[in-house]
Amino acid sequence: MTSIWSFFAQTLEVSLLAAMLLLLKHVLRDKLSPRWQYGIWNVLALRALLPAGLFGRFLLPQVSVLLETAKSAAENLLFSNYTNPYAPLHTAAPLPWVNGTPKSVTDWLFLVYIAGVLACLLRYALGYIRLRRILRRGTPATAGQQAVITQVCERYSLKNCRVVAIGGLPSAFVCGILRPVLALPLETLPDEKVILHELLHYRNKDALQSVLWSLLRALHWCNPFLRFVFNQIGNDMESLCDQRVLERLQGEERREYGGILLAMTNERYPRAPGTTSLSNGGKYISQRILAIARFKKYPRGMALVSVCIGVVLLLPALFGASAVTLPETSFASEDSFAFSYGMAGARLRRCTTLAGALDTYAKGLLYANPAYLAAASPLSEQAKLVSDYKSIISLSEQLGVTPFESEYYILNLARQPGGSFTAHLVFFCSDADSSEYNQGFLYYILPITASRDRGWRVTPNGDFEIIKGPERTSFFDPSTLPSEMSVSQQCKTGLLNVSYQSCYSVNNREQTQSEIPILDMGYNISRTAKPDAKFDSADCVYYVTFLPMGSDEELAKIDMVSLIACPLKGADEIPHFSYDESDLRVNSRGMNGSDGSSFQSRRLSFDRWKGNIIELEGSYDYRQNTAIKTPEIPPEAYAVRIYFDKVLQEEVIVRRNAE
Amino acid sequence: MKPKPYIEYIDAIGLIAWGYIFLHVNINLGTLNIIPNWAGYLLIYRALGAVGAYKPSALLLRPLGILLGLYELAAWGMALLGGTIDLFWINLFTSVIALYFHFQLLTDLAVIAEHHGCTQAKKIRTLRTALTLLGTLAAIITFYPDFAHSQAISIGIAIVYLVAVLWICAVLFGYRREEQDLAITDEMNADNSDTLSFQ
Repeated sequence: MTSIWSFFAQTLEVSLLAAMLLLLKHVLRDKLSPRWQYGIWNVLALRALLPAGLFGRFLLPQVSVLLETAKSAAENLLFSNYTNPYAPLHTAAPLPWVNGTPKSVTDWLFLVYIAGVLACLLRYALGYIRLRRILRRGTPATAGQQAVITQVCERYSLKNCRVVAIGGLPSAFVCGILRPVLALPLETLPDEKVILHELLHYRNKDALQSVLWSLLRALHWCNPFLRFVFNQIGNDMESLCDQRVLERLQGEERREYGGILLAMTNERYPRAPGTTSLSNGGKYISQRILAIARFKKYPRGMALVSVCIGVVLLLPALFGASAVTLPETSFASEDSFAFSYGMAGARLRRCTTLAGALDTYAKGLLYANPAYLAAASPLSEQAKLVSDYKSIISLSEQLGVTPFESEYYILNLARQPGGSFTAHLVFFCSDADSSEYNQGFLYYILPITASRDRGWRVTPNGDFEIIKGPERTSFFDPSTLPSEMSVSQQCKTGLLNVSYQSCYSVNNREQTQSEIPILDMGYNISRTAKPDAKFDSADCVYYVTFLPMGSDEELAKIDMVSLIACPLKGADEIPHFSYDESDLRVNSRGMNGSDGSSFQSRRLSFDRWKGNIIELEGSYDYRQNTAIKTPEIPPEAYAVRIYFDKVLQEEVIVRRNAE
Repeated sequence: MKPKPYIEYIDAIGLIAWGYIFLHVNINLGTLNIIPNWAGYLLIYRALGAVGAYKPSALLLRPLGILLGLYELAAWGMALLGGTIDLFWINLFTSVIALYFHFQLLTDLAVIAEHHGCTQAKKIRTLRTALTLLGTLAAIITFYPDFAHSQAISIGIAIVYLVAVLWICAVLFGYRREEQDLAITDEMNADNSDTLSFQ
């Protein structure tokens, strides 16, 4: 925690979980054992030790967004040294520390908070030291007292610890973690049940647990609700110890134990971390008496459901309940609360996947949604997105055309050194200038880089490039759209060129609702950003073009040119061609989907091909409706066999890194 | 003549078995579920009194039964209007309550069956454990779908869960028959002893 806001975020998350647990414990108070009633607080301890929003999810996202909104609004005016108004609330660790000198009221408040934490810790430490000092002055237990303790240890198979007797002590207690001491009132002979209670505290290391709870109490000292909760936890610890005692006692002894507790309804008991005592204050004794009245031995099978409930509750505590929902609409004005709230939510919403970030960013551009853009943009861009809200206009307005609803593609997604990715975001629409029968298309291509920074973030690498293209049947057209790789290689018989394109997409189709289920066959394109999306289809295609070289006489002798190609995962891999000379016929082509091999034959004199170029298209991978977590690793090289009139002329290896 | 609580208990076992069918089998006409889950909880709630006569801890389940029934009623109503209860904490809270509810209910039935010397007791206890574990897995996957890694795992768990539920229904109907047979045998023994004493 480096600012008062991160403390608020942390204490808010812990309080919400505590409230939920209190409610659940209330409903199950007479149904599950005191072991569960106390044990379930471990979920809270874990939550308190983990930073808020660690996995981009929150226990109650709306409340966290409100806090982020308040932070931005306040810090815009206060100019804090510890908080950036547009950096999302981030709690790196549950412990507070100071970065730099205070500047604003909120910075000073944070220092007051830290001073409070230190004061609490100091008070606990002094209390503990004072108690240990009193214990040092205590006298060794009398023979009678020692005999009672030995008897209890033997009867219940418990380990003994050092015992001292102190005058004026209201009740027995155990103090210390490493070298625990059992303190007894000097004047009286202790009751066996009281000794049993304290030795069970010792055996279960409750003193150590009380230190943990005291630390958390100090961290949240200014939260009155959590102070109440920590008192409840202390009481549940005592109730659990009561249960352990009662499980070892028989009939009348149990009633006597209740009587001992009733006699302790005053506020005199030792309060220090690392200390446990039978008495924990009058107001809690009544709750313990009620628990004792409900006492029963719980069957072993109960452990199963207790653990199962704990596991189900542990997940939201560790990973959060849900992520912030991004607003779907653009905002009427940047001065409105809805705008501030929406942008605050966007800052807290992480794009958890690469596909999710690209989808969110593309839809932000398509629909001029600043929240979408903020969720997928780097943290350094957040302030600009808020201040330049008015300049964010939709793609159609920017380009003066209407791109197809939500349709965009991700071309040439390629991993870069350092773990980032580059790609081209491609939007398209019909070309108004094209004829009715031969409709052309306009492609709007934006080069981008996506990298990780508390989620995936997208940065444009330049401006939109507009390309006119033929009718869109597929995106695999290296002559129109950019390739991820294009390598030309001069060989003995001509000039070879190999290019590679990949196209990834997120499934944005949504089935339309119909009154009659059988008619649910239509789809709408979703306008909602999907920050956790996975790629649902990946098409990776290579193209080989060949220009035969030679004198006119030499070329005139060739009737048919054929190419057989196959991708190689490694540059040294031995090529395996699925096709051979027997497959080569004039104007024939083929493709093997399993290994990516392909072949094509053309007549050199064929008019359409102008007699000198052959194009070969091979799909080395095509997947659909499969969740694709990481982009494909493209082939390292391609092997190409060149035939003239079915006679092999040469085999060429074109390496990817030769460009 | 068997005492009234015993006859009511035998009827209660049937109500619980039907309750489980209502809870886990859904037939939809458009958005209307004609075998609503809340009806399942209503049936089980009606049975709790009779079970409580033999195992008082079952009576503690009554408020939870009402809570779960009301939640299912709200979910049924929302579904009818084309919506869902999309509140994480309410859904989680009821999932946890349901885990305990069914565990305790089946435990109570198993204890009573054991006490009556019924052979189904062990099966009820085993299926109770299986349902609790599967219910936990189902809750985890419902709230954190990423934990399932693939849809196939989710579907697999759902199928195993459904099989376990249908199995427990069958076992409960079998248990009811066993209790009925025991009642008839007891009555016949009682009649014979009456006849003998009369002679």
